[in-house]
Parts: sequence; structure tokens; C-alpha cells
Amino acid sequence: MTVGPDDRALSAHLDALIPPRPDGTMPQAGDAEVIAFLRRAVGEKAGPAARIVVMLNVAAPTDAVAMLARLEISDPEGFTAFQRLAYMAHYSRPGVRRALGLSDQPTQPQGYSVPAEDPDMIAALVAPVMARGRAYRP
Amino acid sequence: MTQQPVDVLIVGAGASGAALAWSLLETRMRILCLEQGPWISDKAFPSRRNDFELARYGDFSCDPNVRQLPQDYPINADDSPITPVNFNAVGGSTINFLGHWPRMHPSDFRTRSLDGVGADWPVDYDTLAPFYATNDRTMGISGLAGNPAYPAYSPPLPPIPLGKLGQTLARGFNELGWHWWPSDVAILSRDDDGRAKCVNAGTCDLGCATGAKASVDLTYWQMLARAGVEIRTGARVREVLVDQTTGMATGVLYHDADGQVHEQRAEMVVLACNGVGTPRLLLNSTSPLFPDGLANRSGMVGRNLMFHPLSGVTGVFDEPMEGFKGPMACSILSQQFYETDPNRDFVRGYGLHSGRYTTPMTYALGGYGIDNPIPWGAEHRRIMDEVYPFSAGLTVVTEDLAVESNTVTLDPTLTDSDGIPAPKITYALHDNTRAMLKHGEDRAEEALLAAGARRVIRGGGKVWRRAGWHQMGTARMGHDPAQSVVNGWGRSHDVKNLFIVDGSIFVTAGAVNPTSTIQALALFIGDSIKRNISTLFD
Repeated sequence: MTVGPDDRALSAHLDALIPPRPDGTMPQAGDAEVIAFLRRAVGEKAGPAARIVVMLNVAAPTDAVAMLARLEISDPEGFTAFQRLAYMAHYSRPGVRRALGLSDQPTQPQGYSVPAEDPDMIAALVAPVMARGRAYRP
Repeated sequence: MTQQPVDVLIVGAGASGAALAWSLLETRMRILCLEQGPWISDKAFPSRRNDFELARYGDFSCDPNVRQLPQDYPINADDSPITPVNFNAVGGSTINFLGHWPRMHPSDFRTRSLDGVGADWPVDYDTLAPFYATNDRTMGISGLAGNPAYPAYSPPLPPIPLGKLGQTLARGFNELGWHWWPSDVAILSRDDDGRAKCVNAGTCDLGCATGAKASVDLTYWQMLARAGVEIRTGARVREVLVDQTTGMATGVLYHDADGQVHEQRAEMVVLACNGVGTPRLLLNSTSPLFPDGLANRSGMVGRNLMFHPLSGVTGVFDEPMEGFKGPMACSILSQQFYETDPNRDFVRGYGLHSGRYTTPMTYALGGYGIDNPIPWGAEHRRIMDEVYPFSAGLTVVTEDLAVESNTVTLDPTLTDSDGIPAPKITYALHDNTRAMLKHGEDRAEEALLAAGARRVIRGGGKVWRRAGWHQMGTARMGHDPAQSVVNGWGRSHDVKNLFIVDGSIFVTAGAVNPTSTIQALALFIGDSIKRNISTLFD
């Protein structure tokens, strides 16, 4: 999905909120998918976050960091609500999880491989704890 | 509408209700369990969805005020730094609990005698030990025998993997000469009894689709269903009914899922709604005989609410800790500072719990149970790339002392969808707890540095808001009817055929997750009912 002309200002501000990696290995926060999530969320619940989205829609994208900083001070409730939604939208994408080293699949049923430790290794690790003896009051 | 009478009516299909029902199976009494939630199929668990993290902030939040599902009731926690969390379904909060399974210490049952605080329990560790063991076998507990922090016992299954994170922290504790041990967990380390072993998904709070986590819908209720025990879902109990002549409970009034009111009669009523739900129901069950709430002649119903206030300290290491792999709250547990030490400025103690770490969205939003998003802008990028993957944490889990002014009462205006008054929590942190949290954060910092952390991020003594998983003390046990709600085997002092089996009967809180003790107590109470069956209501 590409960002449409009406969403470019909001997209720039999302990229300022959650900056991309310089090497391009992290999906951009100012992505059409994130914007669609935000629009659905604020559309369903008129509230503090919607105020911020409305303002960022029309703000000049050239000075996004300064604009976000101003809003954080002038409307902390709205800004935090927007920030939370933006984080939820961005990090709900499988590609973002993959870029952070996690699976891009649902966590179950595949899960992750964590080999069981060798019992001898565990025994060696707990040996000093056992050597100190009882650690409770009877 | 009146249903057929039953012998035993259990309110709540969570950890304690299930264990009690199982214990009473052999009596062949007719047992009915009323549960306000539904059965939930593992296919419905968010851990099977690709947007699984979003569910933590919606329909699978641990906070009923966030979920707002039809089976949930709101909780007013405006006057508390900690808000209770739960889940309403067959399985109760074991559906979304994290499966950490430590037992209480022998000293937890004798804090008055040993340390001059709280009250002694009418039961002790040795009495409960065989019930802990029975429950461990039924739930399928993994762990390592030989923990010197307890009298000898052996978990039935080998421990789950410590993982890189657990091994790293264990070496730190060893460096300092402090106690630690692989956590006991209600999570299978190998296939057992028809359930598959853990796949290390790291999202235990979102329902375990593998079935490795021992939610009681997968353990006790499977056996109970096969034995023909009836469980009636979508049944929200409004009040316990009492014969005003005999003073005995006669049954309950409950709402079905459509809001219709039914009367269910029973010879014996057992409450298993935990430390908020049980006092709420008792306080809402008023009558001329019990104008201040059922079984409340002592005035202790709803008082002495205890949580486990906790805060966290994070270490940032040079190598990735892979904290998203493995059961999210269980790796190792240090009880070095669990017992009272007169050289400290607090009594009793705390545990240092090493969970794993969390998933990216939850980390960015402040962590599990916390609403405090990490910074935005360039700092955000740096934290997510240079801190998050390299982090391992220790949680300071403190023992809460019983204080009568920490209460569950009925909210004067807030109600659930059936018009039943919602619980209101009034709770303040004890100075003893603050001192413990400070001490614990200092020690956690030492342990993380000893384990090789290059930097430590402290919690600042601020307790986690959504940390009210463990709700205890609001209908406590005791020998003295003037100071307690139930006797030494869970029977109400005031109503001889009313029993309570959940966390509300705890006298002290310990500093460990309570579910193993809740279930051991429920089995003990079931056993006591059977032993006293011929004189049960005398």
C-alpha cells in the first residue's frame, strides 16, 4: 500500500514519532497500513487521539519533530493517546516483529526453539546454592 | 424460575472451584458449578492470530475495565495504586495467568509468632504439603527438586529451559552468593497426560493454544466433565440466599446470559470467586439476619485486602537476551531476601522474579501491566534497537501486610450489566512495602550488574498499576469468629453450610504467586468436608 496525497503529512509525522532505521531494515511507521489502522481507531472512538490526528493531517511535514514536541506539551492527554495508538499500529505488523528478531507468524502453535539445558549443567549451576544449605525458617 | 436442587453449588469455575469440585467427586454428591464466563476454545486464543499483541489492549486484556466483555464486571480502583486483574471464563484467571508456581514458605503461615506482624494461619505448611503435591501432579508442574528454600519436595516434571536470560541471571546470583532456583511452573516441560509441552511462545497471557499451560479448563475441568459434573456458563450469581429461621444458606439467585433471574437451591454453597469477587458477593447478600452482608458478623468481609505490590529493574547486556522466547513470567526465582532479617528496615520479605522479556508492542507501551509509553523520536529508535533486545529484568515481588483499611466494598453507583453493584477498591501502600521495594530494587541492580549488565534501568519504587493478579485476605480464615470469616477448614463461622475456598481466605500474602496455595487449600478444604461429612453443618 502506498501513502496517498491526503495522508502525506500524517505519514511524515509518524516517521518522526517512530523514526526508521538508516539502513532501511525496519518498516516505516508512516506506512499506509499504519495510517489505515489509526484512521479506523480514531474513527471508532472520537477522543483525545482524534484531535492530534486532525492536526497532524494538515501540519507542515517539513518540521514534524517540532510539531510533535509542541503537541506533547500543549495537549498531553491527546498526544499520549495518539502515541499509544501509533505504537500499537506500528508494532502489530509482522514485518516489524521480524526486523526486531521475532517471528512474523502468530506465536502459537510454532513458538520458538529453546533447548533444554543439560542436567549436568543445571546441577553445576545450582551446586553453590545447595552448598549453602537451608534457606527458610522451618 | 427454580432449577433442580443440588448437593453442592460452587460459584466460580477457576482455580479453586475446580480443585474443590474434583476433591468432592468421590462423595457422589450432585455438584453444580455456576460460572459467569463461557468455555473458550483454544482456537479463539489471540496467540493464534498475527495481531496477537493488540489483544492485550482489548478483548484479552488482563483488566476487566479494558476488556468490558459481557461476562465481566467493572472494578472501581480509583482509590488504589494497584488495580485488580482477572479473567472470567471456565478456567477463570488461569486462562490468562502466567503459570508461575512457587509454594508459600512455612514461615508465611506463622508471621505473628515469628515476626510479630499479621496473624497466624489456622493451618500450616506441613498440613498443606500433601495437598500441594496432589495438586502439582494434577496440574502437571515442572521444576527442579532440592530447592533449599523449602522443605523437601519434588515437582513431577523436569524444569523448563532457563534459556539464555535465565542462565545469565543465575550466574549473577551465584557471583553474589545469593539464593536462586529454577522456577516451579504450571507449564509442561514435556508432553504429559494428553497435553503437549511448551513451545516457548512467550505469550502465556493470551491463552496457551498448545495446552502446555495448566489452565484448569484443561486439567481439572476435563476430568470433572467426564465425571458428569455440571457446569452452567453465563450464570452470574447475584446473591446467596439464607433461610431467615435456620440461618443456613439455601442457594443462590443468578442471572443467565440474557439477564433473566433464576433461583438455584443447594444443600451447600461454596464460593470460589477470589479476593474481589467473593467479598463482593457476600456484601451484596444482605438480609435481616445479615444486614451488613452474609457471613460478616465479624465485619471482616472485604477487609485486609492484600496484593503483591511489585516493581521492576532492567539490565541491559552486551548480547541479545532473547527474552521473548519462553514462558513470559518464569525462569528463575531468588528468595535470598524472602525471610525476615532484623538488620533490615522492614519485616518479612520479597522475591526477585526473573521472567523473560516481552514482545515489542508491549515493551514500547511501557511493559506488561504498565501504561507509560517509551519516548518517541530518535530516542525511540535507539531504545528499540539498542536496549530492548539486550534486556533482562528482575521483578521485586513484595509481601503485603494485612491492613483493615485496605478494602473491597460495594460501589454506591457503579454496577455490572445486570445491575449488581461493582466492587470498589480502597488500598494504600504500606510503609513496610515501600521499604521493601527500595531494598529490592537495590539488590536487583546488584544482581543484574553481577550478571554482566552494562547498564541498569530502575523502576523508581513505582508499583505497576495492573499488578492486582493476586487478591487475598478479604474473607480470611481463623479460629476466632470475631476476627475472621471462615474457620480453619473454610467453613463460614456464621453460616454452617457456606464455604469459601479462594484467595480471600488467606491470612497472610507471602511473597509468591498464590495459585498453588489457593488450590492446595481448596483440596484441603475438600478433604476436611469429606472427613467431617457426618457432622458437616453442626
